[in-house]
Amino acid sequence: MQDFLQQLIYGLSVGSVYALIALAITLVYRGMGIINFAQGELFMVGGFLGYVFHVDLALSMWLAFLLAIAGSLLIGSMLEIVFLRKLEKSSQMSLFMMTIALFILLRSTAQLLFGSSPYRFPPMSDHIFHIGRVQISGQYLIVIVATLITMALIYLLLVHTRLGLSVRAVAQDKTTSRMMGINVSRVNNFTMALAAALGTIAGIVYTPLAVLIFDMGNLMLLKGFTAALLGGLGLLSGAVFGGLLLGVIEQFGTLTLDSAYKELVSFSILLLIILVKPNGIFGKKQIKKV
Amino acid sequence: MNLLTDKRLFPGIVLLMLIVLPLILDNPFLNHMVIRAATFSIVIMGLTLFIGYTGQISLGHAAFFGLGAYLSGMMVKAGMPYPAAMLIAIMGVSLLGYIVGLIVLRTSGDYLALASIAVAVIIQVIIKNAGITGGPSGLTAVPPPSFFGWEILSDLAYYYYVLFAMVIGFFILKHIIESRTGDALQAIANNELAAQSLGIPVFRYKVLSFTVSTAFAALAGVLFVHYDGFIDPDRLGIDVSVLFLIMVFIGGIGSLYGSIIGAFSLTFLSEYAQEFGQYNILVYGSLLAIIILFLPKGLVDLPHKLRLRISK
Repeated sequence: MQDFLQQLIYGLSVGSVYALIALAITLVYRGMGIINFAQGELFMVGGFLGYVFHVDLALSMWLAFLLAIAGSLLIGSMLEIVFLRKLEKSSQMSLFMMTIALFILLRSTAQLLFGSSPYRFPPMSDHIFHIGRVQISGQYLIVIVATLITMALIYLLLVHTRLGLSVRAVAQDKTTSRMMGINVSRVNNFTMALAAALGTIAGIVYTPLAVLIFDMGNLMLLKGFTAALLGGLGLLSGAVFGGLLLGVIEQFGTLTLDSAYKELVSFSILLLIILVKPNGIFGKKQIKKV
Repeated sequence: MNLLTDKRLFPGIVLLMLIVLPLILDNPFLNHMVIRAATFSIVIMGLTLFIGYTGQISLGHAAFFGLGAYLSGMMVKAGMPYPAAMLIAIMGVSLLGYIVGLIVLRTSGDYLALASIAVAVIIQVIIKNAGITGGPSGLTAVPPPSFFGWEILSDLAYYYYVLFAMVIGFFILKHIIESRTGDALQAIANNELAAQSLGIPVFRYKVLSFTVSTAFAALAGVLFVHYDGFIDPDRLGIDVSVLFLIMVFIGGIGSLYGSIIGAFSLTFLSEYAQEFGQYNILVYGSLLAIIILFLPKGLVDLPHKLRLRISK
């Protein structure tokens, strides 16, 4: 039983990271109409930003965290201005290919700056919590708490601010938003910045559980996408639920499988979802408009 | 100048040059590069049918390429004659492509791209962990092709063999594109719903296009492995699939000539980019971004763009 609880907490913890990535993917998908192929790389970049501030510059964790988020907001906004703005009226295909170009650019830049060997990100807490007879290292709980706080902030931002209102308006209907005087380019800019910041939060809390390496982005992208799809791709609450669900399934799935085949669990889920319920578990059937 | 810009003559002249040049220059390095580039051209042309002409996206073709290579390599090593192994490899991969198509093509656009990666990762993981494939260190000592006792041993012979395969592949795809099937595919690329309302069985055509493109990937894989004599699971990875996609886009997505231009230019670039050392992937990424921003129809559109610029 305590083993079950322990596995559940591990699953929820990794699942919250998936949820953050899924949230970022969903935000960009709703706002800009594309799957951001570079989202995994934004996660990786965030991990390295945190590492630079916390380990290289020896700043305190909190300061490093805030600086990394500020840095990633800047990076996200810059990427939108330089690479995506000109393509606003281009085809889906060009936009998607541009996110692939960004994927390559971010990844190879990281490889140049940090090399190909893995880094160890020190955990934020060495404390071991005891729940009954279960021992949980503090980092797992930090991940869950950080995710909950982030989710709450995002919710407040989207529901209770003017900026959030324009983000939702653009997601609903671009043309009408424009007519209502919303600057769509600026909203897109903010959406990308937000996606980068979410990636950074996920990157910083997750890397102490694993290692920090330049090519860790693409697996995370696929997991985040699977999570987003589980939740129906488009619903923010769905993304969160999908992430947690995927984390738990993966954790229990890998208990019964050879570790070499671990990655197969989430990708089989991805294919299964596409096959059985392409609009997510709660998804309604989408009606395509001409 | 007229000779060079004539749309019908120019490809013929280039082909003639590719046939004659190795005899005149006798440059082993150049032969090697053209073999590589022509091999990739075959995958890229197949992908262009699926991406450019059908308007879909795949980021998993490196897995079909690699699977074709593994199947043929393993069968020939086990003693099967090369032509039979080649045929079975291509048919096996197309069958798998057909089944995968039936699953992943239920979605479209970006979903499809990610679903195709998932398929590729699954194939890659299985090959990496299976015993008979040589595991993570790869399949080694794959023999060169032999047709009924006649072996292709020299690079020059292989050069003509691959060039021949590329030209045949080109004409097969050209035939498909110019047929009614091709019209249906392009209708799907233009507007899926409109195509459907005209009575085109959209799903069936998408699966067909995907299956053909996996067959071409498998053929290229077979050509690759019997030339190199070696393949490892990294060749099936997402990096290679991304490279394929870049080749498709850099040449120009809507044209078979574009596919060949993309494959050749990136193969040669990658050789010279070696001098940049670690920077070479950065070079690809920047090139892709520049092409999308300033030359959305690819390199094949460059002469046209230049002419517009000059006549202004």
